[in-house]
Amino acid sequence: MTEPAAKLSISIPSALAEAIRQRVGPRGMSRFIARAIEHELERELLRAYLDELDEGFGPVPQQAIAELRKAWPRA
Amino acid sequence: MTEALILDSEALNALANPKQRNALFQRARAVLTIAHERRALVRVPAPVLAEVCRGPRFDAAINQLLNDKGIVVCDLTADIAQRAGQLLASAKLSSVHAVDAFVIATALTFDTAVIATSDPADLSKLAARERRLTILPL
Repeated sequence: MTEPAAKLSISIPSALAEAIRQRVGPRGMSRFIARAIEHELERELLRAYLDELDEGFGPVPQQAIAELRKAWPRA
Repeated sequence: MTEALILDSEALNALANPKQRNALFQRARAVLTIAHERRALVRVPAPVLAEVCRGPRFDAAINQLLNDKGIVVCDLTADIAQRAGQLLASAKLSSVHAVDAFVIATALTFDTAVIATSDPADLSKLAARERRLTILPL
C-alpha cells in the first residue's frame, strides 16, 4: 500500500533542480528528493546513536577503525 | 550510487547487548562509524530477525536498536527470496543456509554492499561470484 503523500513547498538552487530533472526526469523528482531526505534523516539518527555510544562507552577503539577501514572497499 | 552496510545476526546482537559481547560490540561500532563516514545506508535483512528475536520478553534490546537509530530492516520480497534460492543452487548449499542466502540476496539490491559478519565462511561461498559485495569479518 502506498503511503499518503504530503505536499511541501521547498526551495532549492535552480541549478540543482535542473541537475536532478536531467537525471530522473520531471516525474521522478519527488521520489528522488524523498529518497535523499530519507537518507539524510537516517544519517542524522545514526550520528546521534554513535554519539550516544561514545558517551556511554568511550570513543571507538582506533585500532578497530583502522583495521576495518583497510578491509572496506575503496569507492 | 548507493552503498549499504548489511548487518548479520551477530553484529546486531553485539550492538543490542554490548555488555555481553564487548569485543564484537566495539568492532560493530567501528563498522557503523565507517558506514556513517561513507554515507552508506545501514540495513538488516528481515530474515536476520528470525535468528535474533526470541519473543517479547527477550527482544526489547533489539527493538530499541531498530527504533530511530538509522538502522533499518529490509523487508523480504518475492524477488529477494527467488534470488536467494538461485544463490543456494549456484553454491550447492541446502536451505539450511537460507538466512545467509537472504542476507546476500538483500545485499544485491544495492549498487554495492559490505556485509559485516562474524561468520564469513558460508556468506563468502554464497557471494563468491558477486563483485559488488564485500564480506567484512567482524
